[in-house]
Amino acid sequence: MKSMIDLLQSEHLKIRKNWGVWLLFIVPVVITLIIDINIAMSHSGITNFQGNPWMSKLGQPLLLMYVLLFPMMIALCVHSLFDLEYSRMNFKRLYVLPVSKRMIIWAKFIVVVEILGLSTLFAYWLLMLSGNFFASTLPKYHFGDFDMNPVFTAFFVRMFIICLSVAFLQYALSSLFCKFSVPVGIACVGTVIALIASPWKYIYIFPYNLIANYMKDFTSESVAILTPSVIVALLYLVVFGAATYLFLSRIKV
Amino acid sequence: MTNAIETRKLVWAYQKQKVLNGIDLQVPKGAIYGYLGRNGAGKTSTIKLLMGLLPAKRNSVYFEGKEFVANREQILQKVGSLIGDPAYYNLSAKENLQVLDDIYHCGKRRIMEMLEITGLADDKDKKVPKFSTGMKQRLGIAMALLHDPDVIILDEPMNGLDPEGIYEIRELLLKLKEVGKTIFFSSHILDEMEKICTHVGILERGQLIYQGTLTALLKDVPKQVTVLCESPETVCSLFTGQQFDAYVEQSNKVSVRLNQSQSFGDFIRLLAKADTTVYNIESNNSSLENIYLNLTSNV
Repeated sequence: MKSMIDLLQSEHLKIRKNWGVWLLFIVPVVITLIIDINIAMSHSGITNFQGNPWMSKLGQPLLLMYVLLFPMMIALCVHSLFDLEYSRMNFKRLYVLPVSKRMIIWAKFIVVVEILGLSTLFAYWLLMLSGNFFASTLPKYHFGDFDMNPVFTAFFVRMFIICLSVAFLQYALSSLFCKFSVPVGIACVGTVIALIASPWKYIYIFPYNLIANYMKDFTSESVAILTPSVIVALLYLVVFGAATYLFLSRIKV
Repeated sequence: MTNAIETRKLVWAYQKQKVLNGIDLQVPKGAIYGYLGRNGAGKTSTIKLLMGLLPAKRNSVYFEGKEFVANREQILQKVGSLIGDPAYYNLSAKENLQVLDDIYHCGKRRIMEMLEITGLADDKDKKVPKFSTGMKQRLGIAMALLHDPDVIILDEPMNGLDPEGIYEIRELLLKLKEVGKTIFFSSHILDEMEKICTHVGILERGQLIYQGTLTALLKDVPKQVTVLCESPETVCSLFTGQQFDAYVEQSNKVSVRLNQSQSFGDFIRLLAKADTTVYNIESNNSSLENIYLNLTSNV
């Protein structure tokens, strides 16, 4: 246990100045700010807003950007984490530490879960902060009249699980191909395919189905968490996690 | 006495091609062991097998008498290594050492001490990409030594260094030997090996063709003397008649090899008897380079 804590401390120090990690926190801030500014600038013609502002004004544009960009940002972030060890032959230093290889790889997995968890939580917090801010500053939108917390919570939990399976798929691809272009390219193409194929009945079996999940579950204000896409993502999480473990433990050093 | 490092019939094959073919290394405690061999001879593979980066067979690698596979983590606590120049390029020199300190718990004072020893104290906050090759190499050494290991394994630590850098590394290795550390390192720079090594191992085509003290190696190998004279055939037949290994090299040049029982004095006395004009005598010192080339050409 002590070795795991030591490894996690060491991993945190390594990623502190990693651009890929910061990307997952900076992009949500930028997107939220753009949408917030848009809401603030376009209120002059409105006297009494009809409908649910959480959905139409804030949630839909913001979350659409998240589901479009998160798989690609995850691909960039995960590859930067992998490259930190790979490009400068740091696996040679890492695998001669007096700690088991298994524990080293598990520490890396935990860090991925942690980054993604914090990033999703941060994105959720930004959304709620924006809505509550407008509830007090622009009352004509009636943000305060709706409790969208259950819908958003369910959405972000689903997003976290699906993104986690994507993260492990990306980790497996990065450790298999080692190059930047292949895993990141696959994530971009995968997201576009998911967008095009989102009406398909079985789209939930496609790993990059986050955008389809948004189209189906969020727009219907679903509060279900264990949707088919989440169940498949949990299954993928195990499969891709095992593949990543295998590739990382056998990586040529 | 138990060896600091020992291998027993160490083998390694890459894509069905044998790289190491039953290596029996014996590195005594407190030695500076130079591991020699041409490119592709298997030096780095040996080091990777020693450090567990390549999977060695059970009962083939031992550190201070302990089998490596069964005691990997315990052994690695006492071993420091430098293979290539790995470092986190997004961090400074000090932060790179802190990354390791989180595992080894050596403390800030030890980090500063290592930065001082390797001459990086003034550049401790500089990011690694701004470092010269020599500075990167020194940082690698600082990282290898941070946890004060008893055994230090270095793969070509002098690669890419300027003469001053080589001198600094040499002095550092000698200092480490003085405090009782065992150093195993591979290098192509034979002059440097000759200056600091107590023991050498010569690897050729996956086999250890020599292993022992450097003194014994320099003593055992015959000297070669070249005589520039008017009548090389006469000189050659005179020497071969007296059990010397001699041959005509060019129209006016004879090469004579002196074995352990034949001194340079014997050679001069015999040459004086030759009825020919001698223009010059050149004696090739038994430098490590000559010995190395001599040994490897015979395999």
